[in-house]
Amino acid sequence: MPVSELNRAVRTVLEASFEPLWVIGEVANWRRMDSGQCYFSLRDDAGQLSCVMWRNEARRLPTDPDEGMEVCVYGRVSIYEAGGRYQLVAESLEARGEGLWRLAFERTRRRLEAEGLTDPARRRSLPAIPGRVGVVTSPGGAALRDVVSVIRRRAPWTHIMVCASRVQGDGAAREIVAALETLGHHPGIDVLVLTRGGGSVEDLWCFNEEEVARAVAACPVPVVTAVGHEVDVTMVDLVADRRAPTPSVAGEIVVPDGEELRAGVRRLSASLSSGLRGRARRAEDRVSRVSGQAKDAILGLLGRRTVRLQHVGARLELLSPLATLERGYAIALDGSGRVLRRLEMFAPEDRFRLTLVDGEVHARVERIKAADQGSEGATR
Amino acid sequence: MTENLDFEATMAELERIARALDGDELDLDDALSLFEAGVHHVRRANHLLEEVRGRIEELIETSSGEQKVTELDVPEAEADEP
Repeated sequence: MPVSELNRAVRTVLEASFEPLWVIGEVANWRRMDSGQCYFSLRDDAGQLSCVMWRNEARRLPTDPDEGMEVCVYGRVSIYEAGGRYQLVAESLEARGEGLWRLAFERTRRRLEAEGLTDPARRRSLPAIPGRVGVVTSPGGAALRDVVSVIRRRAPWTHIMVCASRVQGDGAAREIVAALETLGHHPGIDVLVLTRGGGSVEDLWCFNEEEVARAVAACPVPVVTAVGHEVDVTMVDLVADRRAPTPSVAGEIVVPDGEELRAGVRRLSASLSSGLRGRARRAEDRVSRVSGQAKDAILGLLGRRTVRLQHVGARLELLSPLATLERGYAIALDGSGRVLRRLEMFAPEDRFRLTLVDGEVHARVERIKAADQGSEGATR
Repeated sequence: MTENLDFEATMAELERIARALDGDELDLDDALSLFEAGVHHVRRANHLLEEVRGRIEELIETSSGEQKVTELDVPEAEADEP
C-alpha cells in the first residue's frame, strides 16, 4: 500500500471518529505565516498536539496568544497527509476569560504608550462654542440619535455633520478610520464625536484596533469618544482628547448650554445699563462737587475781603478829621465852607465858623497876630 | 463656524464695553455711543442663540474621492435610554 493511500485511509477513519471538540492546553511555538495561517502546539504536563489555524479563522483573533498561555481550542482532528502527522485543525481559540482580548488590548496600549500617544498632556482643549460638530458613527444607531438630541436641546444653532461608518464587524475599523480622516479634514469642523452604543467586547472590538486609535490621535481637530457603556474603556478612549461615558454625555461635553449663554448675555446687558447709569451718576456727582467747591471759594474770597475792608475802615477812621476834632482841635470854616488854614485868609471883623466835635461856634475876627511877630488877632 | 466665532467675538466685545462703561476714562458722549454699540451686540448675541438654527448633514466620500454633503434626517430620541 502506498504511503499516501494509508495516510488518506487513516485520515478518513480519524475524521469520522471524532466530532469537532474543545481541547485545553498551553500554547507553544506559535507561528503566524505571511500567508496568514498559524501553526502552533498545545501541550500539558504529559503530552503535545500539533495544531493549525487557517487564514480565515486566524484573522478573527484579536491578537496572537502568548507562549505558555492557557487556551481552549475548538477544532477537528485530522491528519496532515503530506507529513503523516496527526493534528488539530483549529476553528477558534480563546484564552481563559477575556484573556486574548485583554492581551491584545495591552499590547496595543503599550505600543501607543511607547510613542506617547496616550499621554494626557497630548489632550487638546475643546472649543467653547463649536459651530460645526462632526459625528462618526452608524447613521441608524441610537448613539447618533442621542448625540443629535442633546446638541439640539442645548445648542440648536450648531451644525452637525455626520460621516457614516459601520461600528462593528469586519471592515468596521477601516471605515471608522476613513470617516475620521474625511471629517477631520473637512473645513469648518471644530470638534469630532466618535460614538457607538453598548455591545459585547467583540462588538466594540474595532474601537480597540490600533489603526483606529492612531486615526483618533492623528485627527487635526479634537476628538470626543463615547463607545459602549460607562464601564467599557476602549483604545480610542485612551488617545481621545476627551472620553464621555455615553453618547448623550458626549453631546453635553461638545456644546455649551444655550440657557447659560443666554444668561451670560442678560448679565452683560444688565451690566451695560448699570455701567452707563453709574457713569452718569458719577458725572453728576462731579458737577455738584465742583459747584460746591466754587461756592466755598467765593465765600472764602468774600470772607477775606470783609476782613480787609475792616482794616481799611480802621485806617480811614484814623484819617478822618472827626478823630482829630475828638482830640480837641477845631476847624475854621468861612461862610462858604472853605477851610481857613492861613492868617491871610482872615481879615478883621470877618465872620467865620469853628467846627468842633460836637457842633459849631459862630465867631468874628478881632485881632490878627502872626506866630513869629506876635501880631494881634483874637477871636470873640 | 463663522456664526459662533461671531458669538464669542460679540461676547468678548460686550465684556470690553461693560468694563469701559464701568470706568471713568470715557467722556459722557463716548460712554453713550459705546452703550448703543453694546445694545447692538446684545441683540446680535441673542439673534445667534435664538434664531440661527443648525443643519444636520451627512458627508459622503464617493469612490472617486469626491465629497458630497446631503441633509440628514435624524429622529429625536425618545425618553432617556436605561
